[in-house]
Amino acid sequence: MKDSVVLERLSKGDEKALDYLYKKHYRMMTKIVLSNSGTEQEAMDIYQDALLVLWQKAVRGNLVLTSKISTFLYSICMNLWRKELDRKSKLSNEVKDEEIYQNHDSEEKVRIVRECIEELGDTCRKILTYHYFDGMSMPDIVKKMKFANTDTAKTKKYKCKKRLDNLIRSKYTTGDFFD
Amino acid sequence: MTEHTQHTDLIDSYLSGGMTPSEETSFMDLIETDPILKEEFLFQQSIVGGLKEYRKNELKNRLSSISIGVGFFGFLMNASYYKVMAAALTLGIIGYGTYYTISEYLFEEEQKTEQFSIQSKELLAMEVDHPQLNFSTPEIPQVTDYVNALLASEKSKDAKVEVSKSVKSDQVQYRTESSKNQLVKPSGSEQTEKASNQSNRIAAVPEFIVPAINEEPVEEESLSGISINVNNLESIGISESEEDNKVEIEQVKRNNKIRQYKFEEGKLYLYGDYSGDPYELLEINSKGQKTLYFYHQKLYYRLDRFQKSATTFEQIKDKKLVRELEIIRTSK
Repeated sequence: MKDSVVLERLSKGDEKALDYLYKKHYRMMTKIVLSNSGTEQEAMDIYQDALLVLWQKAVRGNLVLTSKISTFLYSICMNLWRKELDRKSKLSNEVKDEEIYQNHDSEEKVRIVRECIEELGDTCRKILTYHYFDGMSMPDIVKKMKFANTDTAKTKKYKCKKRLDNLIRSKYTTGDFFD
Repeated sequence: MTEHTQHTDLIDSYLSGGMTPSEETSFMDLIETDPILKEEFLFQQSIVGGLKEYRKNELKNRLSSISIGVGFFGFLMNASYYKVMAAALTLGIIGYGTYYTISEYLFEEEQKTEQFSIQSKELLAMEVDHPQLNFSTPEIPQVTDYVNALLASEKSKDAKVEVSKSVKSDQVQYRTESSKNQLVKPSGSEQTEKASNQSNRIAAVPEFIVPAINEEPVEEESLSGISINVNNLESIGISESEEDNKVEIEQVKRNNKIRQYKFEEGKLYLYGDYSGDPYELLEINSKGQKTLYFYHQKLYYRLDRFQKSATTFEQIKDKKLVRELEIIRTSK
């Protein structure tokens, strides 16, 4: 499959194109981490993160490639792994209790939100995640989720978001988020 | 929490990445001046952050579930497999080497122990069976007895006389050597050593020669007062027991219990386990002829010197011959 075809499919939010890319470049990309003192798990995480960066850019329509997809992925993997090595280095040099506390606080918020997201229906969950994470446009959401039109999709998205807000507010006090 | 519906679209636009950089700057300034807006913004930021995290995990789980087909070439190219294979190969070589070395060492130790055991038992048996065995005592009178006994038994003028008596194991040999016209006398140094330290005999005496006969044909009294003319030995058919007449013995251990023997290039090979009881080899020489008898566990066997293949021992059932061999064996 040519890069242009892959990019076209990625831009439409075709997850199978993502699967294809993942399989195609797995060995080459993970080798970057493995040959730089990384583990197999770390290599896989870095490669998946790099692919998701490519995915988001492609879906949002922000990607204009002047090189091969593999070259682009390679550079993202290199940057991500350098950042990870820096993070690990800092973490081993100074571990601040405050950071641990903040991380714990943040994790708690994420856990609360995740529980509420899981309570949503499949359609609401998809439309919200496609919009906020993938950055998918409303026309693409319409096609992907087979809505009647863009207005229907917008209304659906608005209602789902409102429902999630209310769900979180009803279940948890504001203090859980802002204390 | 107060709702700021008028700001909802603004916040959503920011969190969706729909603002230009200048719009983002203006929005951040607004948040800093409006605490209620900031509160709502943080709330919405947590929700959108949760949604993003959820989707990210969903996609990563999807990718993780994909099996990566490595293929043969990929397998060969994967350095980690090389490492594992190299490690396994190295361990295998080290393991085999260690096993081989240890087994060799144990085998040698076992052989040494068995040989020493056989040696000890034989020597101890010799001492028990032959309490009169004293190397300081000359053997001449008993050689005369041998002659008489043989003469009587064989009833032949050409009867063999000299008996070299051997009790052999792999390493220990008792040999009775006769040299022409030499009086039997013990070796002085050995005699002294053995007499003074009999308890150490097993370890100290791997080989010793008991009698020695003067080259000159003399007739004199032995230490015990009995004389012998060695020339007479020849006249009655006693041959010399030459150095090259000695029979070398080698034990070959086998798993089965069957005891066998064979001769190969003048060497006697004994198959089977003889560690239970000591054996003795009786060598009777006459002119141009040597007859070998094997004594083990109170039984006598005839040995065929031309037996090239391993065969079982042929037991002697002739009571007369057995009696004569018994006399030869037990006499000193």
